Amino acid sequence: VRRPAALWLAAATLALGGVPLGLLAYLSIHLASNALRHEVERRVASTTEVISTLVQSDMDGLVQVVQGYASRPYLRTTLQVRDPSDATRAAIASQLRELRLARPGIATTFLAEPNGRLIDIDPATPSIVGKDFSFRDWYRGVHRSGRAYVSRAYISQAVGRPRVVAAAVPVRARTGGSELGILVAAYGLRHIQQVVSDISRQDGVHVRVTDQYGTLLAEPAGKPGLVARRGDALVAAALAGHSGIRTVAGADGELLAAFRPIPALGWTVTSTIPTRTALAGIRTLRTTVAAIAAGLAALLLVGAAALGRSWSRRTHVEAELARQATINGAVLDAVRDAISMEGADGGVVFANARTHEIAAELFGGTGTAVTDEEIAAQLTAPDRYLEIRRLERADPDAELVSEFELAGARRHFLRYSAPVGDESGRRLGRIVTLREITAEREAERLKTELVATVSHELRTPLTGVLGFAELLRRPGLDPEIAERYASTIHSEAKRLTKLINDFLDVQRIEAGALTLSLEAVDLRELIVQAVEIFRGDEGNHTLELDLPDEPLEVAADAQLLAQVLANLLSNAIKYSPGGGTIHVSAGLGDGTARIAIRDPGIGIPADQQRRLFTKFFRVDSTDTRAIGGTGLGLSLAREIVEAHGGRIGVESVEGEGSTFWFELVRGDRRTAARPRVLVVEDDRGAAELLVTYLGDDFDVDIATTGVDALERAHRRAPSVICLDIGLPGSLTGWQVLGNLKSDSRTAHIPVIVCTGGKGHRNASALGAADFLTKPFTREALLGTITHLLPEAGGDVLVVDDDRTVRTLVAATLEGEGHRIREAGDGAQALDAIGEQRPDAIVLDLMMPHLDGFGVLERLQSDPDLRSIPVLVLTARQLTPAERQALDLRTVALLEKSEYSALELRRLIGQALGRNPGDPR
Amino acid sequence: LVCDDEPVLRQLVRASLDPAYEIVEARDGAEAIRLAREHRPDLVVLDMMMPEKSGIEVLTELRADPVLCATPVVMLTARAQAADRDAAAVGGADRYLAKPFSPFELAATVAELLRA
Repeated sequence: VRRPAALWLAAATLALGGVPLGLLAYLSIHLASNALRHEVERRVASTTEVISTLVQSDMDGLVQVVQGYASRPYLRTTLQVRDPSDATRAAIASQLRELRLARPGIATTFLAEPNGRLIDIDPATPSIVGKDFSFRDWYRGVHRSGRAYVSRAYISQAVGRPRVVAAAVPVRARTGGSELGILVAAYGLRHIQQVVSDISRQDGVHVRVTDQYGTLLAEPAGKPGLVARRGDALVAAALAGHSGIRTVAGADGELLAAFRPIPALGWTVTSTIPTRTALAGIRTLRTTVAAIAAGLAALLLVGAAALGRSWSRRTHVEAELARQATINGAVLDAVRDAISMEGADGGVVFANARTHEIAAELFGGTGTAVTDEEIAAQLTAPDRYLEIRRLERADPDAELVSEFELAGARRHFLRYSAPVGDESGRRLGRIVTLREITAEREAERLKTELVATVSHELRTPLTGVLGFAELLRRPGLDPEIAERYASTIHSEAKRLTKLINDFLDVQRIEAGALTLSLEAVDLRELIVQAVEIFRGDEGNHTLELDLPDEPLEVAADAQLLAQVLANLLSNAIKYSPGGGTIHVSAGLGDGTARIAIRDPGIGIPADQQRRLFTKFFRVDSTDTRAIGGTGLGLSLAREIVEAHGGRIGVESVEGEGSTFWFELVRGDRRTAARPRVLVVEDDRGAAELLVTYLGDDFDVDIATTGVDALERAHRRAPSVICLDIGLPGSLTGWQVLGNLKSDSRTAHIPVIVCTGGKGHRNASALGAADFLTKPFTREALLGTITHLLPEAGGDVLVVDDDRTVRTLVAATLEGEGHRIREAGDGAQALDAIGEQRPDAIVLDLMMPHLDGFGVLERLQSDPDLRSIPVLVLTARQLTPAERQALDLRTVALLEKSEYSALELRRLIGQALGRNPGDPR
Repeated sequence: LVCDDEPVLRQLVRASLDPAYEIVEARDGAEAIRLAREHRPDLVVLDMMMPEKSGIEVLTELRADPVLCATPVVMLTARAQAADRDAAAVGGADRYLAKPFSPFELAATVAELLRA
C-alpha cells in the first residue's frame, strides 16, 4: 500500500541527509589535506632552516677555532722567524696537530705563506710542502676579503685526499698588520654530511647542502667525488639569494621542496620530500573520512529504509484502520435500527444512516440538529420522553428501555439507551438505538383484533343457532314458526361451517398443506358458475361478464379457483354498498390467463393496498368495519393463486372502486424439457382423453396405427409408450410390443399396455412395464408413468440459516425424488459444494459468516461451478441493483413471503431440466 | 328497542320477546338513537360490537339524554372479557348478556327490568 510514497520519503531523506554528509566529508578532507600539506611544508621549511643554521654555526665555530689559533702570539712569532729552525718547524707542526684535533670533523690543517706556498700540513704530507696553492679558493677568498673565508668544496691533496671545505684565516702580526701567513682548517665533507643526515633522517626529508658554487656538500647516501648541482633550479634560486617552497617533478613523482641560502657562507640548503609520502596522511585521512562518511551514509540509508518501512507500515495500518472503519460504518449503516451516540457533553458524535433517515423523515433535518423538545412534540407521550432524557442526564449509568409511538402516524419505536465506556471503563458517552417495531405492534394489534373479530364472527351465528334451537323447544310452538326457526338454524350453521372452513383453509395453507388437484379447467365455465351462485345475492348490483369465445383452459384445481372467484365476487358486492355494475372479465395475457373483477365500490387507500393480501388484514375504515369479514378471504385467494404458480393483485382508487385480478400460467407454457409420452391409440376420443390427462406434464405424441407407432418410436425415442392393444391395420398391439422389445433402439423404452380387455400375463411376458385396464383414472395413469420414468431427482443443496426453512424446502423437494443436502450458512455451503457438486442450489441471501451474494460470487469465479443453477429464496427486500445482479446469475428468485411449494418444485424441475412430475 | 347489526340476532331477540312486547328494530347505533328518541322504548336491547357507533357509544348517548337516561338497557356482546363488562357497567347498562345467550334468559332479564 502506498509504496511509491514510502520510496519518495526514503529518497527525500537520503537527499536531505546525504548532501550535507557529502559536503561535510569533502570539507573535512579538504581542510585536513590543507592542514596536512601546510604542516608538511612547514616541516620541510623548518628542516631547511635548521640545517642552514646548523651548518652555519658549525662553520662559524670552525672559523672561530681557526682564528683563535691564528691569533696565538706563538704562531705569529714563529712565522716571523726568517729561517726557521727544526724546533720552530716542530712547533708549527704541533700547532697544526693541535688545531686539527681541536674539533671533530677537521680532516686536515695547514699553514701557508702569504704567497700561497704550503709551510706545513697535518697530517704530515711532505710531498706537497712548499707547493704553491694560491689557486685554491680559500687562498683567493682570504686575499679577496682580507678576512677569514670558508672555501668551496675541493679534493685535498693531503693524505687520503679527502673532500673538504676549508676555513682559512689570515695570520697577522697584529690586528690590521701585515699578513704573515694563512692558517687553514679543512672540514671533511663527511662531517657536514653527518650533521645534515642526523636532522634529515629524523624528519624524513631529503636534504642537500651545496657550497657557493652549487657543488654538493652533503646529501644522504652521497656518492664519492664532487657533484655539481648548479643546474638544479632550486639550488640556482637559493644561490641567487631566494628562499621558498615549491612543488617540483622528481624521478619518482612529485616532490615538495624548500630552498634557502646560508647567507654568511653563500651556500644553499634544499630539502625535498616526495608528495606521495608526505601527503600519505592525507590519503589515510581521505580514506578514513570516506569510510566514516560511507558508514554514516549507510546508517542514513538504513534509517531512511526503516523510516520508509515504518511509513509504509503506517500507511498500511492506516489503510487497514480506514478499511475497518469503513466496514464498521457500513455494518452500522446496514443495520435497520437507528444507532447514534451522544458524547459526554450530550452532543451527537455518531449517527448511522438509519438515524439520519428517520430524522429526515420525521424532522426534515439531520439526526444531530433536533432538540429533545422537537422530538417529544412528535410523540404520543412527550412527557415520558422528556422524563427519560432527564433520567439519562441525572444518572449516566442508567440503561433505559422505552417505547414510543409517533403521534398520528401509528408508528412504534423501541428506544434503548445505555452508557458506553472504553476498555478502561472511562465513559465515552451514551449509545441510543431506535428500533422501529411498527410491524410487530401492528401484528399484535391485528392479532388482538383478530381474536375479537373471530370471536364476534363465530359467536354471531352460534348465538343464532343456539338461541333458535332453544326457542324451538318452547312448547306449543306454531309449526310454521318452528319451520322458520329451523331454517334459520340451518343457514346460520352453514355460515358457521363456511367460517370454520375458511379458518381451516388458512391454517392448512400455513402448514404448507395446500394440495392442488390439477385438471384442465375452462375458466369461462368456472366464472359463469361462480357468478350464478351470486345471482341471488346481488341485490342492487348488476353482474356483467366479458368472456372470450374460445375456451380459456388452464391446469388448475377447479374447486379452489371457484373459492377464489367467490371471494373476489363477494368482496366486490360487499364493498360496493351503493350497488352498481360488477364487471367480470377474462382474457389471455402473455402466456397467462387473466381474470379481473371490477367494482364501483369504496376502494382501498393506496397505502393499504400492499398489505391487502396479508392474512387477517382488513382495511381500516368505518366503511369496512360496517361491512365486516374475517380478513381471511383475500389472503386465502392469494395462497390459492400462488399455489397455482400465478399472481394476484389489485388496482384501486379510494372512493372510486377496485379491480382485483389474478393471472394463471397456461398449460402450454410449461414446455421446457418435458418427457415425451407416445400414445398409441386408434380411438380419437380415448386419445384426446389421454392428452388431457398427460398434457400438463408431458409432451404427448399420438400414433393411430402400429406401423405409425413403430416409426415414431424409432424416429424419436419417447420416455414412455402407452399402447392400446386393439389396433387397426396390419399390426396388433401385441405385435407392436414384440417389435419394440426386440429392437435394440426401442427395447429400453417402458411400455404401458392400456387395454379394455385382459392380457396381463401376455403383456408382462412380452416385456411390458405395466398394465392398465380401461377405464383408468388420470391419477392411475400419471402414477404409473411417473413410476416408470427414470428418477427425476437431482442433488439439491439447500442453504439457509433458518432450520425451519431448510426443513420446509427439503420436505417439498424430497417428495420429488431429489436428494437434499443442507447447509446452515455460506461457508458450510461452499464446503458441501466442494465435497460434491450439486445439481442445483436453493440459496438464502441473508446468512451469517458468508451470505448468499458471497456464495454466488464464489460460484461465479469457478468455471466448474458457474453453471450450477441457483434458485434464490429470500426474505429480504431487494434493491433494483441487487435484483438485476441476481437476475444475471441465478435461475430464479423466490421471495419467502411469496413461497409456494409448487413454484419451488417447478423452478427446481426447470433448473434441472426435468419434468416436475405428478403434482403431489 | 332492539339494536344489532346482525339481522339474525335481531330476529332472535324478536323471537325471544315476541309476542309479549312490542319490538322496534334498529340496524346500527345511529338508527338506535333516532328510534329511541322517536319511540321512547321501555327497554333497549343493545349489541355492544357494532360498526359506526358501538353499543357503548349508544349507551353513553342514551344516558346523556334527559328523556332516555332512565330507560333500562340490556347489553349483548360477544366479548366476555371483564373490561367489556366494566365498560358496560360504567356506561350505565342495567344488565349484561354474553353471546351466545339464552333466549329465555333474555326474556327473563327483560321481564325483570320492566317489572322493577
